[in-house]
Amino acid sequence: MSEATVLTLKIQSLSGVPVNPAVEEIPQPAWSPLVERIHAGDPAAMEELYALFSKGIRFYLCRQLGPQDLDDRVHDVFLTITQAIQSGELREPERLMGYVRTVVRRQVAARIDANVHARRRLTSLEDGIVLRDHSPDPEHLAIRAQNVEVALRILNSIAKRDREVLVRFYLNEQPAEQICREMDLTETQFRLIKSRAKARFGELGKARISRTVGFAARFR
Amino acid sequence: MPRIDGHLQAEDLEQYCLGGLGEARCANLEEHLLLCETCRDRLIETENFIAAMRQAGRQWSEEHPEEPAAARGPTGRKSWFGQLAPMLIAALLVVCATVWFGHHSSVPAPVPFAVELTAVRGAVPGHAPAGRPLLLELDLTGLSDGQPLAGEVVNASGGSVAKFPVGAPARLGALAPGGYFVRIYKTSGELLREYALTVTR
Repeated sequence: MSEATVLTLKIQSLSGVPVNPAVEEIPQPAWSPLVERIHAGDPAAMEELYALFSKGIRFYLCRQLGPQDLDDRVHDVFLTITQAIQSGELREPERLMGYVRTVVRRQVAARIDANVHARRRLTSLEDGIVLRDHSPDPEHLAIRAQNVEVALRILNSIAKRDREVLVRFYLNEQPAEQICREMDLTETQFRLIKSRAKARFGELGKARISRTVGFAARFR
Repeated sequence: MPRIDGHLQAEDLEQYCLGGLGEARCANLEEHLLLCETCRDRLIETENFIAAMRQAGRQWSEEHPEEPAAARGPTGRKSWFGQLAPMLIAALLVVCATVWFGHHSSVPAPVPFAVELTAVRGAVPGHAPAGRPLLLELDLTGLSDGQPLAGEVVNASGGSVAKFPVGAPARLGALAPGGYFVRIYKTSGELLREYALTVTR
């Protein structure tokens, strides 16, 4: 199959394949038959591959590179994967997931490399130094501030020893073994303190969101 | 049809966020994340929790210096011993410097400034003061596949400023004010990651 054909199929799959990740356990296809079907040029198999991986790939790329040009990057990854399968480069079909991860990581590295070269070209044309602002947007700053407020409420409300564990682990980055040894805790107690705080963080966060939604609903 | 067995362990997600997973476990975790939206959501929650707890812990330690955890923390050292400690340490440093000066007649090295650099978007970019040696702590999540790595600091126009081995926190000399990039390479020369670093007066 030519590269142009692959591209056309990809655009079709972009337009409307529903992804249903809400299930508790995700059906994992037997990779070999799927790879064989893609190798044979089956458009439905390509759509299946896209439906399975697109959200995960977007998530990884967005975390590493940000939202800029995200659709194009996801497209490039799928093009690379389908071309590799069709040309027989994927020798172990059961390792498809590992291969997808490798392609995504290479894409991240290539993007960084491209940024470096682009920056070299740009800086040679300008007098000053241009650095992109990586600060979060106001909405994220507000969310972050609210999260810190919730975490502070938790630290204020728990026992002194639990607080010490959390501060040592998350702020001072002391290893779990050291904290357990110095504070005479078992590993289970240590995990319990962390998981209780995390659960409380989730509860307070949800309560905050429901209050915000309720507040907004009164003005509709 | 085979199914994914359950979901990722909370501890693994936390270690992944903290950059503490080895390559094999990191690979398994990232492959699972490619397919599992539930665990992707849990990863974001875990990241938010860690970031919030870190910031809240810092604020708490500043507001409650008498707490034992705060006394051990990097920001709070003001227990009764903590209040005396800086003076004692300063006095000790003066004595050591005097003795050392007598033998070497050169200036003692200043304490390095610790800079934590992360490659994940949305995280706070690295900032460091000019004129102080630096201690670079790099977030190497996903890079620890056992191969030796090399680090390099370049200026905004790509000129090499310093090179260092990657592993333990890297010590660098003082940098002039400006924009820099810290790069991580494979020994084969393949560029793996780049972090922005701003040095200000």
